Amino acid sequence: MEDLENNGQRIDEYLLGHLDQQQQNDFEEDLKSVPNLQDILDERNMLIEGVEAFNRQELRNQLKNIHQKHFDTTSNRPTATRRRLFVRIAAAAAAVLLLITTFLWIYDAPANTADLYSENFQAYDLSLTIRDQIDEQQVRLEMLYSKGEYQAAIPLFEELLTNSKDKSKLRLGAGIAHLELNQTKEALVYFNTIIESNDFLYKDQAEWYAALAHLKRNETNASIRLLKRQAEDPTTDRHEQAKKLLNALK
Amino acid sequence: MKEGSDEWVLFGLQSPDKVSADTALESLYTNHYPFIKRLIENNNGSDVDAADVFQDAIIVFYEKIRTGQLTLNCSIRTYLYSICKHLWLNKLRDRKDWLNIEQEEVEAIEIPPESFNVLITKERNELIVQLMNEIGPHCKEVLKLYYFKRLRMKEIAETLGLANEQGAKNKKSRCIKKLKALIEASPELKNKLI
Repeated sequence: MEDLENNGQRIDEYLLGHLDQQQQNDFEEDLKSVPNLQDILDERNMLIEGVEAFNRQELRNQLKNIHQKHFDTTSNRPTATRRRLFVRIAAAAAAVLLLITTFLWIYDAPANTADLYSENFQAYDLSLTIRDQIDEQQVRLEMLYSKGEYQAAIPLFEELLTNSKDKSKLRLGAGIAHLELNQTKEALVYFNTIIESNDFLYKDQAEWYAALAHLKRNETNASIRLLKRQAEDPTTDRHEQAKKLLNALK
Repeated sequence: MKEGSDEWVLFGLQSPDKVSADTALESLYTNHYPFIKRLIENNNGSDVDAADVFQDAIIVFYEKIRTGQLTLNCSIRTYLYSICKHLWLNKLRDRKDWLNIEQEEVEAIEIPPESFNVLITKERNELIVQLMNEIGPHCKEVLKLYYFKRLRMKEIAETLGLANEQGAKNKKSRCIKKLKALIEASPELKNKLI
């Protein structure tokens, strides 16, 4: 296992040009003599190309956003009426904000669990369909879930769970749907199943949403217990968020 | 370094700090796009063509920077102009349209043809692109910093506030494991990739 890890790191350094000439020569000698090393190199190269393609796509999206922000003349400009409406709304919002700030300043109340929940909850971006494997039910479920139509999504989650291999992902989605419908007990059943299965792909996410479910139930200690592991382990998916929420809860 | 200068932009684009990198990218875009737009519009193109060509040119330019292959013997504007000219001439050729660009305001430099390979995405890469959306935001960031921005582990640890280099190595290794597990979990996908 350790050998695999070391080979992985060495292959990365070779492919990214981080090795000096001698190390590079040694590696190329090993490529001829170590069984399977060439296969591992090819696989890693493919993964790196994929990661690069993904980031180029992100870069392209970023460029499109910059263009839209500075040069897109086709986007709707506010009309005079809409501008007036905007000013009124902004003024009203400022007044409300001032009132809230004054209220908080006078009472200096600690943030309550409901506030912390809404500040921290964001539905997991659940992508169920993969190109060339289009399943009508999955497409429909993905659409309902992304629109926040959780009540309609739950029966579909349950149906798909009976014959899908990708159970943890579906359980996560089902749990989140229940959570948003205030059915925290049902949500926790799904999250805990993922946590107990130790599926490392979704365990961090399940723990995070389980912590939020406990928060919604006003079970602060249970929430803290779940957040601690990720807050202490920087390699987990929700490390930063867990740290912040934990601080807010203490 | 003067804000907006070529040196400042190049420094910013290579910075591990997201804010500096984003600011430099925005400055690069807003400083040079109007010039390229004029070139394309004066040569049978629309503003949509101009945006497409310019965005492709930045991707080609950025690829050179991130892989350490950029030898800039001219200004960024000349470099971008040269890429855009090449791309636009190819498009005109595909459309069987007018082939000469006239009234050049700057003299274009030679851009090696292989520089443009970066604009072609292989099918297998598209499949990994989809899986990347499932590995979580932190893994996406770590893999971006290591494989795309090509930072060293020490720099990644500093950027992400990890305790040390080993922490960054562990995190990267865990994220690659995650990506591989997602490929393994989908046999049809796996067949297409390997």
